[in-house]
Amino acid sequence: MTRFHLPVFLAVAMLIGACAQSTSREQLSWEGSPQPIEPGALHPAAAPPPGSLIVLLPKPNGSIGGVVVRSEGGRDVLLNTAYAAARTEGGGQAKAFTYDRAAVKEDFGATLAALPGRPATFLLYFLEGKDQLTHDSEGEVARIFAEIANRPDPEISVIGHTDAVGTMNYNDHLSVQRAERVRDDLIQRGIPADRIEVSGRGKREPLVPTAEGVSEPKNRRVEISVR
Amino acid sequence: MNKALLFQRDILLLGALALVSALIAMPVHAAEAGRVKVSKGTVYIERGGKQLPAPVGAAVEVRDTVVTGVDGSVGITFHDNSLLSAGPNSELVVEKFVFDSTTHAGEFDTHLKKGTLAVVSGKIVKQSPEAMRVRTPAAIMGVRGTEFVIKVDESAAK
Repeated sequence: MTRFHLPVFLAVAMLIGACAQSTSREQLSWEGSPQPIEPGALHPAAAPPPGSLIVLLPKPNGSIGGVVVRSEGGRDVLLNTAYAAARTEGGGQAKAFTYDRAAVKEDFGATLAALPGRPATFLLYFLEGKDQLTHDSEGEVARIFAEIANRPDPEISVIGHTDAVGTMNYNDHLSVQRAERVRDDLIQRGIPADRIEVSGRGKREPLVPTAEGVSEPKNRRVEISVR
Repeated sequence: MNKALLFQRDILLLGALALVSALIAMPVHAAEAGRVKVSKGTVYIERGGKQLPAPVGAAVEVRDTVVTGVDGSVGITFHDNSLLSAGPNSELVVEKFVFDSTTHAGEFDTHLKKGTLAVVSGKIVKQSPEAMRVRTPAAIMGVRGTEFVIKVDESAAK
């Protein structure tokens, strides 16, 4: 039996060694650490770190999220209203205030102008049991494809879906067929094939949940996501 | 405890430890975390001590530092659909990016050493608020799903 103890001992020794190594690496800590900022990383020990300013912006749809600002040795400041701002100067407590809306454009115009296009998702619908677009989707396809083609370096995912009519196997095939049909059309519009990822989810992910065997136009679709 | 039980325990322990050791010993793979979608003026990526050009389509990896010149700005889309853009004279380090495209669980840490940054959070934050953190020399921002801008202001340090 003792012969099993030696490998265990060795493994434990290796593990302890590995742990010691990993804890010695510099790590960014957020929870439970009183001093998350590495002191004097960029500046001489006597000089405080450069101040920073953060301004919360409303999303395009008008909703507001939130950001917690934690500064060295200071209390957390929660920003959760449009143009709520916090400034930290040389470390210490972050001061909350409201930023001038016009100044955002002035101070961050070039930065905001460089934001990439927002990731988007488009749906195209198909005729029952076919890889052929519905009349309505046929009319939209040009606009959608143009929007995708306009993006710099588009990364595209095309996912096919079906309704609940037919077997699992049949629908798996049909969903892939639909997705491949859309991919081929995208390639025809000049989008490189290696930018497009294709998959089929069969009847597993209905948009509108139905009983088995129910024909539902909204579930016969291809989802194109682009970023 | 009888012999058979001890034996069983040792084998289990050994297996678990072997697995843990193997995981720790694995080389740290710097995978693509995002891609440059907007690149204006002077923009480059510092990776492993080298300066690489950062045109549209360039991959951004964990531990990369993205640098812009006086005339430069850059926009990056990450795999969880987070968007980041840096204005002129900026230096941004991608410290950590982990994202599970199935569960949307992940962690995203960046460090703005200087300059300006605009942030639009993505799927990681939607799944777990504050799993995205942006650090500046003086503060850490925990992101709860939002859009915001940051400036590291050299002149503010007196």
